[in-house]
Amino acid sequence: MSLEYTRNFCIIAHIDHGKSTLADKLLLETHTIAAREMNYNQVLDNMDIEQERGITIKLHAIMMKYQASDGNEYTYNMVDTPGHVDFTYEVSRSLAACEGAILVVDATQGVEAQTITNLYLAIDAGLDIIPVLNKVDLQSAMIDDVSNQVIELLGCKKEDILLASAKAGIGISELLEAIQTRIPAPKGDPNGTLRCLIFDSIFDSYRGSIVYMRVFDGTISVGDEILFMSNKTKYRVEEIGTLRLGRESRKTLTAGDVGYLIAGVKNVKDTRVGDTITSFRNPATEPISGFKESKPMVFAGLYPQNAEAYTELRDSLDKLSLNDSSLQFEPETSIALGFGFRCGFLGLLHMEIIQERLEREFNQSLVTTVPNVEYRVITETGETIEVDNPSSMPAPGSFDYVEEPYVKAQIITPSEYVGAIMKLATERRAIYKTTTYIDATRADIQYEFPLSEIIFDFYDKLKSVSRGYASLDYEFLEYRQSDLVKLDILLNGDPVDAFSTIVHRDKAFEWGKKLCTKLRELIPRHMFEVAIQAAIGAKIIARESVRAMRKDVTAKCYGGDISRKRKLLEKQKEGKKRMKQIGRIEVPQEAFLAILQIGD
Amino acid sequence: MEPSLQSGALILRNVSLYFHIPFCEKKCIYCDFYSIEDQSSQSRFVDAICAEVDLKIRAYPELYGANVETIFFGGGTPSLLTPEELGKIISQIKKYFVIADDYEFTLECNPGTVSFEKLLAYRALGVNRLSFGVQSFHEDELLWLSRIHTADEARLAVAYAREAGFDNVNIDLMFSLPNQTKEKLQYSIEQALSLGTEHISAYNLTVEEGTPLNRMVKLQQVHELSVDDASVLFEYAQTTLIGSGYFQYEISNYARSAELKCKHNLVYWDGYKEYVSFGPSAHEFFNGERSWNISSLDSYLDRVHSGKLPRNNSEHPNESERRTEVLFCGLRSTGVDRNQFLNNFGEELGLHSEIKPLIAEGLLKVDADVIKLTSKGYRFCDAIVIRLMTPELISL
Ligand SMILES: Nc1nc2c(ncn2[C@@H]2O[C@H](COP(=O)(O)OP(=O)(O)O)[C@@H](O)[C@H]2O)c(=O)[nH]1
Ligand code: SF4
Repeated sequence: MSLEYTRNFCIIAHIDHGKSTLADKLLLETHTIAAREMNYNQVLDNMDIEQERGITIKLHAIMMKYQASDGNEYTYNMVDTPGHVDFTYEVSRSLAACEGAILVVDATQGVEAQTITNLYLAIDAGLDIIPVLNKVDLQSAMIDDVSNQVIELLGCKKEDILLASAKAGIGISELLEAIQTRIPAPKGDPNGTLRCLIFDSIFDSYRGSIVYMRVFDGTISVGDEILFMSNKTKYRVEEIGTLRLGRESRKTLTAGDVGYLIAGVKNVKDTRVGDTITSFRNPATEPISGFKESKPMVFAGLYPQNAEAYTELRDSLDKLSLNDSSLQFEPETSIALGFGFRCGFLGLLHMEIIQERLEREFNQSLVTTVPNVEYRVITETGETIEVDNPSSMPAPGSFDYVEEPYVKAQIITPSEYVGAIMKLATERRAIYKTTTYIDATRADIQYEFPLSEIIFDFYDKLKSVSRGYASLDYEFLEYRQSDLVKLDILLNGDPVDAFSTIVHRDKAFEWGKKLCTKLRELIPRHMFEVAIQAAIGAKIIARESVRAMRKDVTAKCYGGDISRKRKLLEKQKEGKKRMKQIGRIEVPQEAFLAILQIGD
Repeated sequence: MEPSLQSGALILRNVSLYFHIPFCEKKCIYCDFYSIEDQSSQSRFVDAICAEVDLKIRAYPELYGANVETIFFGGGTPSLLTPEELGKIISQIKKYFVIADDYEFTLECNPGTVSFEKLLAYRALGVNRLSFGVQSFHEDELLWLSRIHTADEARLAVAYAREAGFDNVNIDLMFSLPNQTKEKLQYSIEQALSLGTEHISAYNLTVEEGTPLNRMVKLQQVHELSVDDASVLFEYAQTTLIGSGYFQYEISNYARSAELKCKHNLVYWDGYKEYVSFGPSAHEFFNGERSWNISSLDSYLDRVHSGKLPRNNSEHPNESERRTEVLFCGLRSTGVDRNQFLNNFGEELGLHSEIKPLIAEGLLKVDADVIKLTSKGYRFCDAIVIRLMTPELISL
């Protein structure tokens, strides 16, 4: 396949701006897929959870053949990108596999934070951008305003912007043509030293890891011995090919191609996103730049509801991590919750996805602890201890200071909400940087935030103060010293490690109070009083109690109707299953996430 | 009662009988027992329930000649039966069963439907225990509950019973009515005590699905007493009745002496004993099967008329369900027999890990034979049952 007739591109868009619909239309128009094969859900989102959330979590790619007006047939590889802040690194790797990007902006909504972040990533990666205003079929489309936003952003000309309606099929053929004329053909030397970039991998229980990759230089063939550069592991190519609706195997792939590779790799951790594949006999000297170990940002304890399910949970996590190289986990024990796992996630969404998959696909009943970031404790001797579990925070006085991760955050909002957002950000200890106006009505505010302040319901709060209009994106900045304390919760005098959190000293008192109040609502009444206390070190800062229940019985026994009473008891007992027994106290699962519910 | 069937040398099986009389003068707002106000088909019903006895014997020939230890007429309002009607049903019983010498025969009465003559006639037919649905001695409460009688009529009914020769009488009381104060309950209990009945049942009002009371609560026209307030009244009823010489042998039941416990209800709560039942909505337990009749008089009459058992449904509890039944039945009444439990479920309940803490909390008493609740334990019966519901198989 000649490089000249290949185009590799991706689509950048904010959620709901129409990426999936547009992608489907491109597939239809190029006859990659027939209308009757197109089911209701779009082709690129093929995981249940993704469809429900309307976001693409896992990267995929698809190849189409386009008959261009210059009379030649072109091979288009469309690489999909995930659309959430948790997955910035994955996005950057997908972008690196392309020469161009289609920027889709909903003409009724305008540019959003995520769009901008991903756009900057694309520009940084040297991609050529084709801006498309989508949904121009709608009355409410603000073509002029949104065009100006795009011109401001890209420094392009108004004529460069395509108008489209993915739904009505307007502008699709123009876009296909623009891909050929405006996105450069890939460069690379088919005879050079082999270098392929991994931009995704999935796990197949029969074939092992299936790698999605872009060949930059050289040629790869079935039977070749290859080397994964980051961890120097060697494999033999079992199968390679291109990606249509399914996999289409081929004998070779060469520079410029996008495709898949199967090499009997039993663990996705060996096929890391961003890594370079080269030839074992004739390895490249330099990998393709940009490889990073994806590092979890958010940690939480996952515990089985019933202790007996521990091994099952471990097996499920094992299986999940085969599929998801960014999921990390290691065993931990909690005095309150018993044996479980401390898991590291890319972000809160990633955590929710994992939880949901464990529950749905693996039938696990979980107790999840409050998520936290990773802290760094600096000892008197200057040593650094990484703390990813609040309960393992050393006692006050036994260390010099604590650092927490900060992120650079960008919020894009209609200007009328700037005030409310500033207030919210201040409450979350944000450091204000700058505000720029994208156009007369939309502001781009830059902040530095402690990451811990963002992982707690910040996104929801942001949406609610801006009626859903503001959007957020952030990336890791650095660790900074902070005045943090460990807040403990005691039930009837015994500290419950699973409830411990690390908070800024200024907020500790208020949090302690709110947490106690919330727990009082959530913990059911027992035959004895349950005292709930919040403490910093040895100092109690708040107290609440759940009064003792004085009776728990139904008086009547319905004559000889024993079945009815038995069923009532069985139901009650079933309800108790959702409780975790801590000593003699039954604590409902939700209580472990109570801190997430304490409103401001 | 005159024995009719020759009691032979071999008495095969003990059994209790329940008859459901589905008529009431007026429905009470809290009641979810099956009964209707239209009494026009009462005599047809009496024929039908007699026919049901025939059908039952045909279906379960092993019942023939069984030894009847207790009979209970409930409802509804059994005291709406004329002595002739009751007599008809009793003849049916005698046709097939042997009546034990120390049989107990209870009939529920609404104080608004009895006369001295009627009670005398019931007595002559062999009824030896009466249970009066009194509920309260306050006129306002009686009215609010839609009871058809006054407090004085209740007192009079008990007096008639005594006069007619009944030496085993129960009255039902109900507490935790909305807004009920301790003082109000105190008065009703004192009045009940002054009547000196052998047995008192004191029930916490339960708001049942589908009752007018339930609708009123949902529409917030009335507010249920809080659990805390209700438990104060529960505890008060308990201490007052026990303090006055009654002893509690079930969550809501008190007797003046061990011999005066209601034997029929103890059959239900025994968990193993069998009872056979007749009339719409009646529940039975026989041959390990729990079954119940349809809760509609019309369908009941149709069914029996066409020669079929008027059964709605049945189930055969599995071992773990049986275990729960035996557990809660025993605990809510006179205790779980340890040996019987071991024999039936292969489990020594006394070694269950929850037993020790429950004893320490003052909720359970355990001796070599029986595991039973303390009077505090009765107030937490459901919670305790749930703690013991998961079997622990301990190898000895
Ligand atoms: N009116 C109109 N609706 C569109 C258009 N493109 C997409 N949509 C609708 O916008 C919603 C989001 O589209 P989708 O493709 O799922 O967005 P994605 O989240 O970016 O993949 C869906 O309800 C689409 O039907 C368009 O051009 N016009
Ligand atoms: S009299 Fe008894 S059975 Fe009839 S409605 Fe009232 S409570 Fe129910």
